[in-house]
Amino acid sequence: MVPLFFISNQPFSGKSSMCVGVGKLFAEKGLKVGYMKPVGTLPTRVGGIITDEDAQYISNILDVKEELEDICPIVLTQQYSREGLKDQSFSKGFIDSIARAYQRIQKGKDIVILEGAKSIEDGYFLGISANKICAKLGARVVMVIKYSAEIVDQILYSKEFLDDCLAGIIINWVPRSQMDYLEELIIPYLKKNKIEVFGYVASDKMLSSVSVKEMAELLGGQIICAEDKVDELVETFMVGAMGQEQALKFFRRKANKAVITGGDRADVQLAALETPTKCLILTGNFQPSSVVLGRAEELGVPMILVNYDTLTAVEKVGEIIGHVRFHEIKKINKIVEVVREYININRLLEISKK
Amino acid sequence: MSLRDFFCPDSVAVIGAAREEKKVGHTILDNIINSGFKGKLFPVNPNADEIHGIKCYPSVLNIPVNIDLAIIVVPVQFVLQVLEECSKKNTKWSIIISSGFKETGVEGAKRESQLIGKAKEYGIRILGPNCMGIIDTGCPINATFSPLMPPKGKIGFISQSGALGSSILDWAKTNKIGFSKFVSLGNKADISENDLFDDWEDDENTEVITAYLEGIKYGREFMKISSRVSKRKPIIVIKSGNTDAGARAVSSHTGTLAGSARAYEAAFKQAGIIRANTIRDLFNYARAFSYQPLPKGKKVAIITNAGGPGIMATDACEKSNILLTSFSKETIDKLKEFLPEAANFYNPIDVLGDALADRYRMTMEVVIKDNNVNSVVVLLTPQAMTQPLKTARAIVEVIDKSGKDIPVVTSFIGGAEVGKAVKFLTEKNIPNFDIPEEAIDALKVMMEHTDWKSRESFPVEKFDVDRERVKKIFDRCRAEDRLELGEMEAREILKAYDIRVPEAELACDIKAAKEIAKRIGYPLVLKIVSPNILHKTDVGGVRIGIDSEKELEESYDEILFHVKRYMPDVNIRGILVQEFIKDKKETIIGMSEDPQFGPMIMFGLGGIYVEVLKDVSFRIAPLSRHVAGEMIEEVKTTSLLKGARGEDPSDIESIIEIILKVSQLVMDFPEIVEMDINPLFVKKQGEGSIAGDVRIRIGG
Repeated sequence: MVPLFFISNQPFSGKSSMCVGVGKLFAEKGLKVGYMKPVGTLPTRVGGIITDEDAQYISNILDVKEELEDICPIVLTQQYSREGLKDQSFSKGFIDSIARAYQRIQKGKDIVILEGAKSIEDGYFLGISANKICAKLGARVVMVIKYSAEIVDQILYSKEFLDDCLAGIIINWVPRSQMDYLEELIIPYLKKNKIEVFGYVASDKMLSSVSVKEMAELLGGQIICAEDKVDELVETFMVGAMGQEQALKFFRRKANKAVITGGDRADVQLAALETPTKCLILTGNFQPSSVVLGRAEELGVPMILVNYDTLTAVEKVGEIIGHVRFHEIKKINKIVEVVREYININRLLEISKK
Repeated sequence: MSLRDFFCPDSVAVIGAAREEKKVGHTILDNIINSGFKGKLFPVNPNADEIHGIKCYPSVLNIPVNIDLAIIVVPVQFVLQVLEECSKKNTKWSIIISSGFKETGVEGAKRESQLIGKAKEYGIRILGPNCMGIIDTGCPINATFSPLMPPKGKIGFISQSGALGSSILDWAKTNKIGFSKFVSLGNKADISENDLFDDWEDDENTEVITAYLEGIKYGREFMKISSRVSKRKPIIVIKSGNTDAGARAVSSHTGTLAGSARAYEAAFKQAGIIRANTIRDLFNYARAFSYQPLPKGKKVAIITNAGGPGIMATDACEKSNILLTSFSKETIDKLKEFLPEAANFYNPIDVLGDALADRYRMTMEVVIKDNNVNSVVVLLTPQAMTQPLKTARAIVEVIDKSGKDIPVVTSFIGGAEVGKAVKFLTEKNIPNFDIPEEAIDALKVMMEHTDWKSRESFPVEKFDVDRERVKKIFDRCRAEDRLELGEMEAREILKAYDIRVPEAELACDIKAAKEIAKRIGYPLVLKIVSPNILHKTDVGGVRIGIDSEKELEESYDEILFHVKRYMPDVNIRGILVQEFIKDKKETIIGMSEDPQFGPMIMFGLGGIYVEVLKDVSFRIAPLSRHVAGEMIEEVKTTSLLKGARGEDPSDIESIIEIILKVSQLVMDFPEIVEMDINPLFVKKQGEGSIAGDVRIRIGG
């Protein structure tokens, strides 16, 4: 069995989603699926053990029962970086401990999915970059790459870096408007250059969305109505500070959005409620008018009261949207559906058997 | 459903009737008794045996008969239970005075939607909650907590503000203004202005319908009912929250969007609603309508005893498009027989400062008989010899004797000197106004109403269009999660609705562009086509007036370079090579979805006329040909289309046609929330109009 190593050239390319989707589909086929993230980059503490946040979450979703220390044997904390820089011998045993962990993980498994760090080069100076791990574990790389104008250059460069380890690529986040260009020019070009494409997936706003509940948590805000709708997903946001007529025109431009406005702007709040809005973020810690609150409850649109001024709230929300993890059931189901439809799972399975 | 049993029930229960005098439940009971209510009255209070000697019941269920109207004044947490009990007493109507619903926030909103659900289940209609109640002077019943029962009259008044309602009741009583009915709407959980307008259409006691509204919930229904009812009775409405700040106040007060002031203006116009800007206007108009017959034409006669007020009234007439009538020779000859030489025999007639009541009488007698007079305005200033009260009597006598059915309004200007006269006039149903301008304004509104009543209703035409084609485009948009259509798609839609667009084809390279250019012919317009670019001009994506192949080549490259610089990552589909429309005027047809009334259509002349002068008109779709024509006429700069300074007149008929097609399109596809044909090129008469560019946005 050859483990499949899912890596990316940049964070938020959709690597974790692919691990989950592919893993779930393998399991559906009756395979025993193992999961491991050799190098963790999101330190968190679970039951006294330092591990990687995503690794812990994904291992739960894929229902793998191994020890967390094995699922994520190396976690790149600030201290690791400091020690590694001070003392070159610090990282000497890393690659071997990864290999040992892998040996334990793969026992009794039909297939093992490995998840890379944030990017290909992560951990290079510690001798645990993706290509080194691949060579050590005999893995094949499935590169998950986010569509951009430079995508062809990025793929060719990665191919050179990974050499024979690269099994193929998955292109993610393709804007619908670029689909024709991708299909007509890029894919044929890659084929000519012997780069296998396992699939390509159009941008899905839902997957980059964040739930109202998560938004409230991340903003340290308080949900003050429609609490039964906190699992709704927010895809984008808009700021309102104009008169109601202009607000209405403006808010119609985007669906599934959060609207950020002052708690004292009843007119803007009501205009937002008239358009496709998933939640209102009320700034300045101003309680909204009770009738507006009542209307939001009636329409089932949660309002989040935050302490920030509008400008700060905009900054924070901007950081949150598009940089979220998929900690919602709705999203996981969607991911599985997307992978089923667009990714050639059987081909991945074949590669893992070689 | 007639509201007869609601306004004049046989049996009323006051649930929550209190013994303590200061409580609302007590006041309401008092008011019902004091108003002379002749039906059966049942106070409900588990802790009292009787109030004011009337037997109290511990619960509605203990009342031996069925209850027509339940007035509920219990604390909010008991309202649902009371409603359920009422359902067992076959109750069909309720007034919920209790507050603690939507106006108080989340819990209240939940309670209110529960209440609405239960009321539906029980088949009980609700006024309120959180309202002041109703008064019917005909029944009579005062089921409010205001002790001020207005005199009997012909004005029905609806108020969305309870507090304003009680002020108006006070003011009406003081000024002896009679009401037929008064309703405080409260939260409008169920019964709204729509139900009341609908009911009052046939109410014999109500001749004029008036309302103070902050927001309207069901706009289309409102327009439908109002345009029917206003053909029979005037509907006068104050709609507050017309400015940005006012709208904000409405929003935080009522939890409804105040709505676009322009949409309200359009909707009111189309539904024949008379709009009052102030409470004073509202009752000025209401008095004029309820006291006087409608004028049959626009010709006014003014009689005054002072030059100043006469001139002011004349100015006001001119501003309001009211004609100062020219009297017949016979009239003038007769006036000359008795008026002093210094008097003015022509309109406005000045009977001079020394006029006694008799001179007014004789003048009135002559004027009222003149067939060129459709209404009379009598002005009076109290001078040394003036006899205000006698003059008032004389006016009333002349009207009574004349047997003529024309409106007479007065403006006896002053205070104490004219006080008795004004009181007398009011008693005799002659509306007196403090200043001449108000008298003229009231007449103007009456004249407009006369016009409205005599106006035919025009049908909405249906054009033969390709709906399927449009549906497919919208389906694709939704599937791709887009709210804005691309230019090519928007063009397709216009074509499907038989609206002409410039000839154009998409070129993916310069070679193709040249071939297309040969087919279409120079001059040309080039436009970038990209799903990511919404404002083509901003990124240098448009070139117009391209005259030659050389220019085409240069412009083609330039557009691509510019776009690449402004938006490096953008996906370019190609460049649209488009026919350049010559010899045209630019206009705009727009549409936006109003939350209250639905699709609102806009027309104006392009460029500065819309942007700077805001010279535009609005109407709510669907439109008849007549209304579309009205929209164009309403725009001041329309005269530029009619051929100013020797120019050829433009094809206005074709604009009307396109407005109607847009109206049909937005009615056929409610998902369209915004649309702009900008510019719409209008050619010479007979040559049609062409949609230069179009943007369409759909709702998510």
